[in-house]
Amino acid sequence: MGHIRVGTLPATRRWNDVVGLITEGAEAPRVAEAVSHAWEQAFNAVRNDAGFREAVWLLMQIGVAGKSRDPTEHLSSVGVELSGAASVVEVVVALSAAMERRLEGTRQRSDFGELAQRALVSAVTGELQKNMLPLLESTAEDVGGAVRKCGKEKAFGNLSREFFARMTNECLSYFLSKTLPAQVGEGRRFGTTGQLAGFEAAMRTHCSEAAEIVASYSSGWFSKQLHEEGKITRESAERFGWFGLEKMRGELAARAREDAG
Amino acid sequence: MQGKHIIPCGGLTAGGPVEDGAQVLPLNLWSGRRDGNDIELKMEDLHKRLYKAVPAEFEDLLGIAAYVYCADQATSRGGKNVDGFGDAWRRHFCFKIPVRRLGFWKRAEVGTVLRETLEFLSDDYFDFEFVAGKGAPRMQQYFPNLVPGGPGDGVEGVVLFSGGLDSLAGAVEEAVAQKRRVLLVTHKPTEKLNGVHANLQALLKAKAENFAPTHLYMRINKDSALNRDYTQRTRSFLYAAVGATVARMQGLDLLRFYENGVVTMNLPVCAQVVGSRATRTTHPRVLAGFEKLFTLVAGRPFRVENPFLWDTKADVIKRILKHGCGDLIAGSVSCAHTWMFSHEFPHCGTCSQCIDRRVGIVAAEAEDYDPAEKYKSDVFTGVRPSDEDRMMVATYVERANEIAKLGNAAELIARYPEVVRMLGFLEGKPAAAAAKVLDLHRRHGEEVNGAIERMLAVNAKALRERTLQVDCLLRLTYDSGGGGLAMTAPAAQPAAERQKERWEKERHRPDDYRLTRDYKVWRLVYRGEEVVLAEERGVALANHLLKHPPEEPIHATVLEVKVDGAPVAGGQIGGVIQEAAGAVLNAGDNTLLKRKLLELKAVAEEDTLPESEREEAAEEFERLARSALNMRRSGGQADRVALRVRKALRRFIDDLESAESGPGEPHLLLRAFGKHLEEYLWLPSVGAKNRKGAVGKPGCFTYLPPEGVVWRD
Repeated sequence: MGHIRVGTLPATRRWNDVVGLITEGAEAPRVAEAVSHAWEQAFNAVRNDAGFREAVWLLMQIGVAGKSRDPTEHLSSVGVELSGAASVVEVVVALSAAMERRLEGTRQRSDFGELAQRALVSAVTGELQKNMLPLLESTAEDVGGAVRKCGKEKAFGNLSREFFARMTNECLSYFLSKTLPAQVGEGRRFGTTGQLAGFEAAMRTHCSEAAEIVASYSSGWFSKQLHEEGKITRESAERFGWFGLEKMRGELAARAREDAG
Repeated sequence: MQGKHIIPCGGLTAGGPVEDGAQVLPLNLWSGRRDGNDIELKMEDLHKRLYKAVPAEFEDLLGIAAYVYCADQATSRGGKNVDGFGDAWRRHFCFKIPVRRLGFWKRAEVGTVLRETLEFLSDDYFDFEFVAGKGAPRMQQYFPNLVPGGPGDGVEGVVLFSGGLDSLAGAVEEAVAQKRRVLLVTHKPTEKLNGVHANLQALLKAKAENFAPTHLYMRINKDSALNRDYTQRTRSFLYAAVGATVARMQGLDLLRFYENGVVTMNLPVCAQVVGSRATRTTHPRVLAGFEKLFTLVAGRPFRVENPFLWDTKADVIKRILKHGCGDLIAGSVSCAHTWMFSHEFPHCGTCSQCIDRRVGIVAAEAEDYDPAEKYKSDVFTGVRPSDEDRMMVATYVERANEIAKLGNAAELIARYPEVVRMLGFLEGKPAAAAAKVLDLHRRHGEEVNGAIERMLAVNAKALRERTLQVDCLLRLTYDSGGGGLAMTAPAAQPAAERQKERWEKERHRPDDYRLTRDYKVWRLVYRGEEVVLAEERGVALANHLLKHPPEEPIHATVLEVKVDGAPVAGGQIGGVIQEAAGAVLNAGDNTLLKRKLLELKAVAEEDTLPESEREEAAEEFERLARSALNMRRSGGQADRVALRVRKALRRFIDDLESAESGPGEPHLLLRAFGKHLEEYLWLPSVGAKNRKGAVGKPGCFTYLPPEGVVWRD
């Protein structure tokens, strides 16, 4: 019981180049760019992924709820059952459950969708928690207030930035975790697990900085979409999501070139 | 996801044509033999007095569980599958199973809980078609060798007993500490472990004395050709189904798994561990699902518990020590690599379970009871030459280290979002449950770190002398001066060079102008620089004009047809285009039509012509007149299309001209492209005030590129 399965990267040219860069000592920006080049085929396989679409759509619903008169009521109307939720934890449990119900109902689970779910839960937890008072027991009103703040343009931009930063990092790590831990040990890229952790932290920071590019776009898109269309559909959310990911990929490429000098 | 796997069971056939890509795997549990696709489920060594009749629903449950387990093992989850983003991991099983109680298994709530529990447990998809079974074997077929005697009605509990440390601690708690008469259900995956189980049985008997547990051994016999995948995520379903059945035989409504909380929750050790890559054997949601299903099967409330939910591995080991059973530890086997098992080395020392066991042993200071030499590779000092083995130990250590540093439940969830999946199935409010999960994992993290520190101290001399194996856990976690590549970076960097060469190849020429549609986005290359654009109507419209600059401005209706390849609305495109074309080409006076109508009117009124010819002309007149009238009625649709196109293009250009790359920072490339469209598309199409500069009629659009600008895909 408790078995865990880990795998390694295939020995194709693109993935060999990723491993090569790591063993040669390349820093996070160049490794990230190489992975985002190597993952092209994998990304083609997840076009139209229902999990990613649902995660982006639910992210948007947090923003829409923030703009509505009654955030809890709006979230309930889109399947996020929040009645009486008095903590951020309850919000993300409901959010995650809504996503799972949808995917399990339509039988469209995927690894990519799982990564999107992680990014969603993680981003919403981080952003809502920022709006809560520390050390005090929260109430349903506090939770409503925290969600309401996400309806503001700038706050939604931050939430969105956090989502894309985490989604990109999850995707990079999904592939990199198939080789990085094997590069630990004397004479290898990382002398110790501590050095490996340092590299992973640098990758998270890199993704977070790169995600700056989507923050202002996201807030603008969000208010324009609501103003012009009056609602956010799964279809429009998906377009927004893929655009965000492509923006991130472009930014990773630009930063890698800059890093290479 | 893989194609469907059709599993007709019990002598049934797939029935009807099988869809493309589907594979058929017949399995038969009812033949009473093991041969080819015939499989056997055997429950051995049960005392005769403990064997009692149970409702036929339980007999069906055992069959279903056995089929699910065998299909799981017989179907590969694919290889590395990196470029498919892991899609082969999830399989779609379509079972056709004969049952004794068809009405029960066809109940919607039964089907739903069965399917949902298995799908979460294994990450696969399940469809069940139940049919009325004919010639079902008697339950006794599954219990071929009942042992005479037994405690009769004295069994107070049924516990699943794998023979690992956690279930051993559970048996000790029940039989030695609580002095309860329990029945231990053990799955025997291989004959190799017979000796291990017999030894543990004897040791437990000696410790528990009058409360010695009774045992039931469960085995699936099948052809080795059916062993294609070793992940066995559905094993706990079979295990639990047997346990629940035997519990009901004893009149009990309770089944216990004993598994420490860290393994139960099994948070991913790294990003690639997605879904059931980390087993969910005793995940709170799975146990809740089992409980619900067995309650339905039993027709009365039935509980499935894990009393060690809030224990770490070290806590579990301390329980064994506390009850004076430390000498039983050496007899337990935790290793996942059972195929490597030998009496000399019962533990491989490299799998996640061996690492967890040995670290827990050291954390509980129980090394005296768990001889290190029984591990083929010492968990702390053994060599780990394979990538997978180094990955396993590095990720295990790093996860523990990371969790130990987390400050609060929100940080735990942000770092390990999988936590939220279990909170709804734990006691108490989610926030309180999350705090308990954090506390459990922090303790685990501290125990792992403490165990490593202890072993570093034990091996301090070898570390200083650098005589420990290079790839051992202690050297991987402790910087003994070897350093990483930073100190020994090779001069040659072929991968870095190849990356730069690729970038060079990907670089666009300054006179490159491209607009390419990708999934939900557009890629723009403008003056050799690339940027991604969001998918919107204006881009698609501009794209056509840029790549097909018309000789004469084309009407919006035509442009939409060229872009969409479909009618504007409700199949009216023909009329709308005619209307638009009429407006453009002859200012709407329809000279030809009028001339034709006049000719027809004259023929229809000419008395000298045969009546049939006059009637024919009159009918034609009516038809054309009606058509002209309809065309006028649809008038305005072309204008509406023109307005729509105009708005889409204007919005697109406006967005480009105000684009920012960051707060307050103009996006130079997009603004330049916007200016280009303004100058060479908008101005000749729509013009400035009073259509100044427009070259076509209202509602028409064109693109007049400057010299040297040619747009390509």
